[in-house]
Amino acid sequence: MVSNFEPKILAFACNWCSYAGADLAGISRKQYPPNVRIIRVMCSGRVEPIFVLSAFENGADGVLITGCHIGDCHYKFGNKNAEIMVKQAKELLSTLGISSERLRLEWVSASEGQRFSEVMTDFTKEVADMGPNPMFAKTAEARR
Amino acid sequence: MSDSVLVIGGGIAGVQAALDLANASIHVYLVEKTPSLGGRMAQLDKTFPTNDCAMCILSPKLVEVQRHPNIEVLVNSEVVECKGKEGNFKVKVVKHARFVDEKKCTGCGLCAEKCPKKVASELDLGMAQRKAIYTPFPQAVPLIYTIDSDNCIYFIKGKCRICEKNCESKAINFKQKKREIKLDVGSIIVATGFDQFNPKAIKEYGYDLYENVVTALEFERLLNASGPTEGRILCPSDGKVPNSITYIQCVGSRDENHCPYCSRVCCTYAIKEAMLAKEHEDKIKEQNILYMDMRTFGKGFEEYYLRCKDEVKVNFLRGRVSEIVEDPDGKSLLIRYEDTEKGTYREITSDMVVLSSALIPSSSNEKLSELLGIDLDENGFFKEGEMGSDPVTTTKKGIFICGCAQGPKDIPDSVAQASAASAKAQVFVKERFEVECMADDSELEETENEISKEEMGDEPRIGIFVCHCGINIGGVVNVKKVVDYAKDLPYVVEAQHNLFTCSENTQSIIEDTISKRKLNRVIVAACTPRTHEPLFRETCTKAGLNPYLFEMTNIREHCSWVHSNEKEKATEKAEELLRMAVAKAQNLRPLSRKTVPIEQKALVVGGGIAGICAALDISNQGIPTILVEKQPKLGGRLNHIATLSPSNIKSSELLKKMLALLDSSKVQVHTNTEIENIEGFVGNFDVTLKSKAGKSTKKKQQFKVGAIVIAIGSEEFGPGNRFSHKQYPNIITNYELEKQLAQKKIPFKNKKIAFILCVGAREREGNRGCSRYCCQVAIKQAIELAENKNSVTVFYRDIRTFGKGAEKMYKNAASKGVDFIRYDEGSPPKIQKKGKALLVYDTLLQENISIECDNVVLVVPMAPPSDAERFQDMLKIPRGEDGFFLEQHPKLAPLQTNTQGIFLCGCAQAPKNLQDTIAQASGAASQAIALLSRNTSEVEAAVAKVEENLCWGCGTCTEVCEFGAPGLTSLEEDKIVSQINEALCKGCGTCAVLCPSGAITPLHFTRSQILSMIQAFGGGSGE
Repeated sequence: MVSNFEPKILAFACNWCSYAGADLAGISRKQYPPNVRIIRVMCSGRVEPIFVLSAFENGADGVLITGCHIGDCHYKFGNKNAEIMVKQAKELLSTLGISSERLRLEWVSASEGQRFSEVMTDFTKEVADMGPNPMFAKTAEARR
Repeated sequence: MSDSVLVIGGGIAGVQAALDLANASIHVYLVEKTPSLGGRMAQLDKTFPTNDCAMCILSPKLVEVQRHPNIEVLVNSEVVECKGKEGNFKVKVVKHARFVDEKKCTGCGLCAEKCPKKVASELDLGMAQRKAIYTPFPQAVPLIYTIDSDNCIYFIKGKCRICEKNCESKAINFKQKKREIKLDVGSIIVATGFDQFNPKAIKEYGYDLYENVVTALEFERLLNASGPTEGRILCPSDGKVPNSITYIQCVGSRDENHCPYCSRVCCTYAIKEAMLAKEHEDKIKEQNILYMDMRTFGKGFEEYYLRCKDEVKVNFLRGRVSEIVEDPDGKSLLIRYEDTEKGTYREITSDMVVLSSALIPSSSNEKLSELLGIDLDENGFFKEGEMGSDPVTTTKKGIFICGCAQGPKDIPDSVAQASAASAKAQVFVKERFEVECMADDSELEETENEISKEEMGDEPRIGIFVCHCGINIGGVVNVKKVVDYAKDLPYVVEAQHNLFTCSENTQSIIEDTISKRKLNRVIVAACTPRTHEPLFRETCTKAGLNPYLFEMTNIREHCSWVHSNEKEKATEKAEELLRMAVAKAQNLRPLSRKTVPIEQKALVVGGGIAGICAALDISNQGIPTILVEKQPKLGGRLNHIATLSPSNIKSSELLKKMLALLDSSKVQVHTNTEIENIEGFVGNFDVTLKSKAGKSTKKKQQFKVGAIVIAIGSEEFGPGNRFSHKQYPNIITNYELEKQLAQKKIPFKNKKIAFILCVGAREREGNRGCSRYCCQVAIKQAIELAENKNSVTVFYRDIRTFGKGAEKMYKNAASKGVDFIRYDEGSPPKIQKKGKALLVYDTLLQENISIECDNVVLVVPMAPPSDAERFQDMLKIPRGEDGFFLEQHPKLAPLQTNTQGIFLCGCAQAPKNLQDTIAQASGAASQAIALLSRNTSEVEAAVAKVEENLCWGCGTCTEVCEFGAPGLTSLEEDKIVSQINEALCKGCGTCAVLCPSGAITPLHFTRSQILSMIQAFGGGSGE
């Protein structure tokens, strides 16, 4: 695909670990590509499949869901539910012709600013390599 | 009795004490001599060991103080007279003229901009300049300008008055006179902090000779983005990034000629500064920390030290500097030092030297001690009542101390002491509240939080405030462009930018704008909502706007700070983030917080010294308190300790005194009793006790409490097979030795004894932390054995005698003939049996010496309490990797947990010595008192809500919720629905995702709100 393609990435971050991890990335000035927009939710378990689908429909080239590491969930097992949801959503995406690789689940703790930055850099690169989201291209065409 | 308390000193300790008192419904006068609150913490760039931005976590607290209805802030003021006694002090305060009318000044800053006179800035320690009319720092609280009359041209020459001409609100008043204010207070808290040792006094360091030798506090300002170099680390001589930096520890500290004590914070702050320097300037190739002993004793500090060593690659060199000489051809510095590891002299060169200079008593201490009639200790800090067991009392009844006024310490220890002082100070204040016992069936009551018509309006009217955060955001993101962009977004009626949106004066701007522009939604684009959302929500509430109609978006941590080299893209990102916030704001709905009744009763779990102190302090406020201990006897670890160090007080005497106080108090004590179960939520915990006594008629007891203090202490760490512990009979642990000493047995006479420190502590694999208590205890034991004709050798890695009086004890041990031999992490002493004696090989010294000894004492750390896991599950309070309970915030909330109404103290939170344990216990009591001084409390409104007509009553939510919030109820025949207990719901939203009928909505994170943000992400308006 085009090498200078700038993907649009939507990330969901749980309030307690990953959002705090993103804050720490900022505090420690760990630079990462400016392609990601974060929506804060209280728990990764709050993310519904429809949010993922809607993100792709609205032009996201990649969707990232981040939460506390297993065992560290502020609500005990919300992240386990996120794990199940992501698995189902990936299957759904495949049937829609969207590579399931465009949806990623990552655990980032409040102390992993460096890791947050690495995940962002890595995912941005991976999605850039995949090129634009085909679903959006289709819907955009249909709208036209 | 008076109903007020006077707090002297507006640094973090004074601020915390004032807040605790005010939250317990006590009126507080907070007197600060400079023109702003904030103290030393406001000067710091980051705080260890989390590298949290100091100002970011401090600023919301300062604003809270300023706005608290129970606190009267008197800045620019000094106490000049104090008469009377506890319960009834008559205090005179002089409020110096600031030549600016406090009521009229809006803090706009135009006067300072126009002022022609530049003066060396105190904040930047003379490395930058301020004007003659100034605020100490941009986020000053209160944000009111002050004329420095010593430097003002008008005051010197009688001409100028430029500030007066430019002040739109006519606030300048050159004729303002100082004012005398008389206060009646019941008690006084002294929180006057510390000064910094001036390294000029040690000629060899060349501080006043060489430009590139700076103090750690000066370096802190260089690191700060709003400091003299805007966060760049540059050599003062040539403005270039240094290739190498050397940090020199114990400058003035642990030095008989200057400050014989340990300053407690310097090791960890040098580590912090080295880490941050490398982060700011990647070009720095080499950093050295030259130290005597590495004293990283606090929670998480050892890990921080290892990170600095392993990841940031800072060299840690053990040594003592003899002199620093500047290279005659350049400006680089030659450091000559004694390598105390090898006993040789060495030299290194560095472009920059940072002196970690000692914390010394505040210059005002002497005058204040005379004025208040309280004693100073031998070093000039305030003397506590009884060394070691009464850290916040003074030699005068009714006057208390906290923070660095008592001795050097870090922020969490200062905060804990501040809370403790607040608990003690409340005793001398008129009774404020009657304890009402609530009916048992505590129904949830809804507050009458009427939502005005304007607030709801017909359609959203959004106001946006974009923060520059000095240059933190403004230096990267084009803030003006973002504001212009925001003006065109749907429903936006107002968009503006502020230098610091969190500052006190911006809060009034926001309030005014809400009313003038009839805003019914407010958005702040600034830093993280995790620290600042509460502040802005409160501002909205003050302006009559429901706090849930506020939305925040993070363009600092998530944007300017992480895209600093991509200014255009960062600006674009900020615009998009704002567009998403506007989309959500359109869909926000007002929510009302429910209030729950509070059972004004406290439960203290654990009858050790921490539990006893906490229970006494709470009970002294007239609050019914129940103390539960699982052992048959109160006193915990104190029962097995002979003497306390460094005071040498017999622990049995301290225990006797505490038990007598307990006897004469109203505390209800249950020994031999387990906590069988605790359920419920803040203000309403249902407790079930189970007595272990066999014949007890009432084996089980149930009752309700409003707050819980967890003081379950620690366990003895079992050394396992470390250092051949189990192989030989004459190897014991320090715990075993202490038990014998407590029974007045001196187990050894005329023997050769070896102590090995850090057995099972500070390990790379396994237990990584330092236990804080062990060096001091081992030295105490070593002295006692040496005094009983034993010859004693102590093997150590770093001697960490940081506590008050502890360093002196260490010196004393050496003078009693105790030998100290250092060993390295990688080459610990080995124990071999030889006949009846043991040989301890020291592998570090060049020659492989062996010391013959009869007995070995293994000094072990503290292990987490054995019940920790059970309490973690029962109370839903998390634990850290080390197994101890996790506090809410490592700096500013060391005694709170993530569960409202549950507080921590003593060794359950982290290993610590008696003095720090007692301070924490009283501190936790103070937090519990503040909560229990009211009979209702608000609970979070952003919880799950069930749409009953959609609910099938399938019960999926009840299975998935870990907190028991949803419950099935039959409404009428055939109609079973789920209902949520708002006080139990934590608002995670998982039930909503799993609900098959879509009946559950997590308020404030609703499906439509999030979908609108996603739509806005794609470029839509989110409508």
